[in-house]
Amino acid sequence: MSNNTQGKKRRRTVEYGRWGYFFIAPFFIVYLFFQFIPLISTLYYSTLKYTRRNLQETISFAGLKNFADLLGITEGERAYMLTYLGNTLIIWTFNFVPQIIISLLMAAWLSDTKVKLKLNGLYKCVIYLPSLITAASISVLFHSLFSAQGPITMTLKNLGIISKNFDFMSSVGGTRGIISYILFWMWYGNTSLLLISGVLGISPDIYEAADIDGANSARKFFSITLPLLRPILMYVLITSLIGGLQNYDIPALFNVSKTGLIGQPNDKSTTLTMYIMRLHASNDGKAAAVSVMLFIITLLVSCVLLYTMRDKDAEQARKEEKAAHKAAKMGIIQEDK
Amino acid sequence: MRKKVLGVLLSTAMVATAFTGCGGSDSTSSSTTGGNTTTDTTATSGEDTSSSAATSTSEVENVVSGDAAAEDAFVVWGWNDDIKNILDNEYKEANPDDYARIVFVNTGGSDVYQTKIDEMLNDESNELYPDVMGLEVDYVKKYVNSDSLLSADDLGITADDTANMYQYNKDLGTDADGKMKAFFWQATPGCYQIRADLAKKYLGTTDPAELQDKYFSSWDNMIAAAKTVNDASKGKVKLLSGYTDVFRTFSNSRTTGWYDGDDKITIDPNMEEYMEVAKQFYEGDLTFNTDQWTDDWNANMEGDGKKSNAALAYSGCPWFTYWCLKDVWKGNTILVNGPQQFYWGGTGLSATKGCADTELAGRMIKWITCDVDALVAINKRSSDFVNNTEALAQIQKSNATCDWLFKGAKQNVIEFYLPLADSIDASTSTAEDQTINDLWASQVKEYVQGNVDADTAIEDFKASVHDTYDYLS
Repeated sequence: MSNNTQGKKRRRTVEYGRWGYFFIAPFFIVYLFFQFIPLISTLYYSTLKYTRRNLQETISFAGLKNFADLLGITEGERAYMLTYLGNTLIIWTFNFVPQIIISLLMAAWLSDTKVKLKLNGLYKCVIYLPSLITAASISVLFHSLFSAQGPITMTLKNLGIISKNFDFMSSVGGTRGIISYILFWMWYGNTSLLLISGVLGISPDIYEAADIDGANSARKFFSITLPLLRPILMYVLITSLIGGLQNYDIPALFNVSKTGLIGQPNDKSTTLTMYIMRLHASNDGKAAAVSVMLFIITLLVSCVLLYTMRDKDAEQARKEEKAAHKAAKMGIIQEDK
Repeated sequence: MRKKVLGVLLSTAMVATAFTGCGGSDSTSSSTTGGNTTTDTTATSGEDTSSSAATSTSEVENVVSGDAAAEDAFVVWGWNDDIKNILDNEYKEANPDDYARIVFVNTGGSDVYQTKIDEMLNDESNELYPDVMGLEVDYVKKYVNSDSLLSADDLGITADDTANMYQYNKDLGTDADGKMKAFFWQATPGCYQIRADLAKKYLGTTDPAELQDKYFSSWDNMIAAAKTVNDASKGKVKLLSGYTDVFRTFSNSRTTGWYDGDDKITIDPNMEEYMEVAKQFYEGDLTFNTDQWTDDWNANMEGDGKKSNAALAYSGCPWFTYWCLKDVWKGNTILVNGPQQFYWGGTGLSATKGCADTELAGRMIKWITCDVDALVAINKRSSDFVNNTEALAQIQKSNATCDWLFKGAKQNVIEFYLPLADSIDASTSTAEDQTINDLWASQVKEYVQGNVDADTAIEDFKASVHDTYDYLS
């Protein structure tokens, strides 16, 4: 009898929950058709061999051969993919390290309530501005600034900072360095803003308490800001890495040969996505295989990062709690016995 | 825990695909009509549109002239305005009614042309589907050997019509079964073009015969000349803008192409010699080390040699004179044969399988490439060396002059090129030349700068060709 009344009661409550599903449905439908299905079909394409010659295309099943080719396992194949992965990661690292340092510095300065910087808003605007310009135009602009007879190259030569026959475009470090710098310059404003919002999310009480205890700003930064920023830092790191692995427009337009997307000099500034686009012109199957590999790499790297950078203290605490729970339970059971 | 793993997996998948979406989307959008800009202005600038330093399919927009939406629109594709100039001038005058129907699409660069046109060829319903298109020698074979083009029979062009064409051009336009599908209006014997004022100053002569014998007859002579010019001008003037300027001289006088009948990649002795010559130019600091078509390369063409850098000579050919040279070369150009006989470039006209009006396509191609009067008129405007021996004979008889040439050298363009054109052999041309040349240039650069030895460069080159075209090995 009592069960029955309870059931009726439950039915009488209005369920708003399902409306939530309706509201998020458009995203999932679009996601399904435009992202998830293509993702799965890429897997399928990666097992095919496309031969395109004189505009005629033949498609045959290749199994895992594309992957073996890419990794250089098959006879006569070179593992270009791994070289390009290396290029991509080097370019990304040299952009990310300075980016995170400068952004943290910016975030600390621009959000410090004691300093009360004048024109705070203007600074935020200015550092954000570069990411508003199309990457393509920046790339082309930097190319002409740093080309053999470009204004910056000439100025540096006249000032004696670089040697007379130095050419950014035929130096590996020069080309990669400039690409990394462009990425850094475009994205540090964005990262700064993210970090600022993270810092502002930290309760001022903590800082106040630290002030009362006489902590200096370095101490406050390392002992309060940094640990509490960890979730935001994680987010920045992972999105930046994913973006970095898929770095395309800047290197693809910066110092490339006329056709074929070869990152000069000597293929040293070719990124993985440029390789995908290059293969797309001749063998879609192989291009799809690179895409799949890129996906796997991204997934692995993200998982590793998430695992190594997890909040160890919190986990420890949770484990202890669980153990205590268990122990208590065991205790009860034992007592029962 | 499982939930967490799933969460991470899904969110990575989401973010990853979201980013991929950004990168991939613009390359497809550029090929649709939405990405094209329509202009009605007649661009007649002498700039080669492929000169921009960095180009990619997604960044270079098509320039469409004419009304593509019209019922009877007849679409012609080219990578610059060379064809358009003929249509706008000589063709318009002779065939005003046909001209009114023409819609011209300029893809803005030869390097993006193949990508754009290949996508379009699969899309016959697109209003910009080409009816007639231009094809460069570096990839004309790819299209000629495909089944996307109409043959001479389909177009009503007979063997008599093409009888006066140079044989090498006919071979380039003919597929493996002997069907002619691409038609050239110009012949392109190669030469070196010398700036007379700089030659006078640094080589001490403007006499073509002397320049050829003393400075341009062999590679050793050219390197010696380059040293002389470099020393005398203290590096402000160099013989050539970049060592890549001599590439075509070697590549277009080869006896074997980039691969043989069994699809095996071959390196002609010419190409090995090119590496050595290029290295000598580089090590002696004898050029400005520019690549062709770059801004710096263009800038060296109009420098004054005092304040700004200037190059004394460029590797050239008939179209190079009227299409690429800057104003400073007007009445200031001397032609010499150079150390080796070669050819450079050329544009074939072809009608596509899905052509809306085969009859008009046939008429147009026949008029531009076979009609003697038309070819004489084209020469009159641009001094182009046309692909028709009879027209050339007429032009020669009429004593036509070319205002680019240095008067003091008393040269006649047609007389200069006639003997050179007879011996052109373009049988080494392959469908993939454009891309393979680029891969080669990239490896030669490594070798020239001393980063790798010759064997490694060649091995790297072969591997990269195979990676790009896996049917070649």
